[in-house]
Amino acid sequence: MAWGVSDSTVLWAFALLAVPLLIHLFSRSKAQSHVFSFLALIPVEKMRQRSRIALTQKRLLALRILLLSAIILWLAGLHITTPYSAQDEIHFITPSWLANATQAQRDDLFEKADKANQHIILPDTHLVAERSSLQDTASNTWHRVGEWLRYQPGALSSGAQLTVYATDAMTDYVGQKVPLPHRVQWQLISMIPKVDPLPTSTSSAIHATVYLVEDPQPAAPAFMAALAALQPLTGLNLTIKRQRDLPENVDVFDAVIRFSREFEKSPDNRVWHVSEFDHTTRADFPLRLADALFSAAQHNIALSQLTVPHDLITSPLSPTAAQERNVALPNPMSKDLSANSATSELIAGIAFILLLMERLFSEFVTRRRASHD
Amino acid sequence: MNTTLNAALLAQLSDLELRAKIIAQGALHGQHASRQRGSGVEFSQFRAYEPGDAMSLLDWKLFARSDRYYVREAMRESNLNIWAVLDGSASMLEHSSGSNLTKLQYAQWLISAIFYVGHRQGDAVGLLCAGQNGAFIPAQTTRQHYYRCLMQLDSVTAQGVFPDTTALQHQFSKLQRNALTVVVSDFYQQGTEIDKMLTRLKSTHTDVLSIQLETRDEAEFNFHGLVKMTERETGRQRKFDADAVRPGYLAKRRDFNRSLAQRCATRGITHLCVNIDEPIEQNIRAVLQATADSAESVR
Repeated sequence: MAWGVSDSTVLWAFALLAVPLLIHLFSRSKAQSHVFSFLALIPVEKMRQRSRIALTQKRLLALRILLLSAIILWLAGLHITTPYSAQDEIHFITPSWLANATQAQRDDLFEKADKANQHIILPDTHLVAERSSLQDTASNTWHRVGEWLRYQPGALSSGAQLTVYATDAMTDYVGQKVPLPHRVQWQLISMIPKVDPLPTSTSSAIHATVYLVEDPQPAAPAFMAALAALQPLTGLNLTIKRQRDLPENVDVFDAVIRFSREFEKSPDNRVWHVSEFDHTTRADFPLRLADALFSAAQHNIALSQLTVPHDLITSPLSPTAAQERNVALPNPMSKDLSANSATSELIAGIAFILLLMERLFSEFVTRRRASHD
Repeated sequence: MNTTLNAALLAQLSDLELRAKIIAQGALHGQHASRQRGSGVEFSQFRAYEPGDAMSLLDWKLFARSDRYYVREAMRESNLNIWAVLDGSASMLEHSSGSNLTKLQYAQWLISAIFYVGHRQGDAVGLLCAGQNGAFIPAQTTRQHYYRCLMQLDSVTAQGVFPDTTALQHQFSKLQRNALTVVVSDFYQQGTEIDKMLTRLKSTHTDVLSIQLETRDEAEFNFHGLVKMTERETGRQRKFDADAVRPGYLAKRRDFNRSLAQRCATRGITHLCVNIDEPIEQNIRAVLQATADSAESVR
């Protein structure tokens, strides 16, 4: 956790803190020195009252400085940020879990990630796709985690908690039987923080139109569920059109998925041939599809680094616009900032109320003393 | 003669006797039925008849020669010892707000006027300075002694606190012979040393007149804002809000003056409080009147 400000130039306003301090110092009545014949006639208890008055003035000065500081911090946009390299908790979601989890489970996960300023990481199976023993090794969850950590050491820090959402499918767990869905947690003991941001995006929106050509066979429910889960997860504005065949007059599309026996894609990454085996057993296909869609939208983003590109996707946009387009992902530029700005406003408000109460109390004491005298 | 006494001019006057004379006669100017008249045999002076003088005092021979009414006055013989006890503590250096006249100077003028009147009446005058370097001059009637008292009085300086009375026992014993003792002080004491002194001075053959001097600042506490005060006698310092402590100070001041007057009354001591910021003529007249009344009671 670290403190940050949106506009550091406003911090120069801290020099204004010298103003009340100087006013206090210069307005302090200097004690006039007198030589007097007999001090025993001067009541002692009134002198203590004088020190109370001085204490009140100092308290007032402190409150004024506090109020001014709160206003400056508020104007500077103080917020608490969690650096990417110091994630406290990372959710590692396997495609199979994503494909098999219910909508409520997914919503619960996304909501939790949003509130806790946590990030969701999907393993990029490209990293292991070239491995020869794909069926035996790459589909194993633990192996994927290991691969991911090997390629993303900077994404984790010491003390980070890694949560893996997986299923009990044979492709995920070899030799293990666990309820569905299942969450396994590791506590990382030591990991050197590292930040390696990706290049920024130039596109202002991520819209994708995907045609599902369900001929000769329809899309499996698991595939559709995984595809639907892709939208809230990535922030993609995905338009899915299911067709028996691709219309000839359609010339605007980002991807065409044909369900056939072979798994292959066209050279321009726009037409995919997905066999039944692919979209059922190889459930990472939606991720690969999303990866391709991001690439088509000129977002140089890999899904395996989804936590980083999220910030970078929104960076060229205003926070509000970015928040609207990426509703499912945690957005430190929008929600977190507003929350911490509210904290600054709260501090300023409390300081103002305290200042007001202090002033009223001082006036009350002064009037009461005057009436007694 | 100037009918009003000017403190600034008096302060510049170096002739001690003249100053004492001006103070005394200026204060007594206009009083009828001069107190110098008496049954003594030694001629003093002729003076013009004033309404109120007894017809028997008229010098008819002189009237026959000059066709004017004159009263023949004679020096009154007296065996009264007038002692002046002057407070020599540092608090007597407190000065008036109007002029730079200190209580010590004011006391010196008062005592010199008393000495002048007393010497003219043939009374013996003596001085005791109750200070750190206390001076003691026994009471005598000679003119040289009178001058000596004036010079000693003029050289008195104030410093430190009021001395312990045990160191002045020897002098006090000489002050109790048919004497009128005039104590001029502000009566600020660290303990009860001044009370002990008053008790010691007062006896059946001795009358005591206590003259308390105060300044306007002491009486009214005309300070404002945050002040840091240093006590003259002890050097103690206090820092406080003068406006806040004024009511309490004035109340304690009233209690202090009332208590002092009561303590004097209990001992049979005539007490007089004099504010040195008030017109000097009026104050000295009151002091001389009180001195004369006390002297009459002793005689």
